[in-house]
Amino acid sequence: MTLVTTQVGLVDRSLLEVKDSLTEDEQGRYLVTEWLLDGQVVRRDALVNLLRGIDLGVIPNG
Amino acid sequence: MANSQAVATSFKVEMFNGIHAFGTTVVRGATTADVFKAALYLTSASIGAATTAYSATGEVTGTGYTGGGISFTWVAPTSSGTTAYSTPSASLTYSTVTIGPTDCALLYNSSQSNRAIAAYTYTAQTVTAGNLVINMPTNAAGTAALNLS
Repeated sequence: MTLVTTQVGLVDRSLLEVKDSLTEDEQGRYLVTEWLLDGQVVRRDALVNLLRGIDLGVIPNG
Repeated sequence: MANSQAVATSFKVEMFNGIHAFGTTVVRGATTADVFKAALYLTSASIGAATTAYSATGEVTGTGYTGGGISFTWVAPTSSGTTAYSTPSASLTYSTVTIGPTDCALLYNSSQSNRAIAAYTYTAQTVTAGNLVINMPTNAAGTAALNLS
């Protein structure tokens, strides 16, 4: 039995539904993983892949 | 061979390494790299070019997150062409946290009065009892986290 850490404690992996969503914008690409127990999100992970750095010679406004 | 007006590429790398001081600087007790940290900020914060140092104002709070953020190291600064560059040597990982919404990571120098270095923004993320991992861009000229071209 695999246990997953959630906001309601350790939950058997088999009881959790997992939803991944992948999005992208100018700044990065994002993978969000939601873990649901009885339809409620009990854990959410986020992976942020930044697509570009900063050039000290070209500082963006703001 | 003709002369050309230019900033020495080696100087750019040395800027990252703190070799030159055009003004009053700090006394360094060692030749080792400083300690750097990455703090996360709420979407309601106002981090940007005017930010001079880390502040807890607007910083995320929540289970598993320590104020001030996490420590990280830089890849040794180097150059390619005329661009000097460096990037955090690993992903910025905030493990088992409940935080957000955050859309900004401030990198700052913990060894030098928490002086700010750069802020990186991203689409707002809320993490619940999970991990927030920020992968920095490829460490190469033009794509690195910090470039001096």
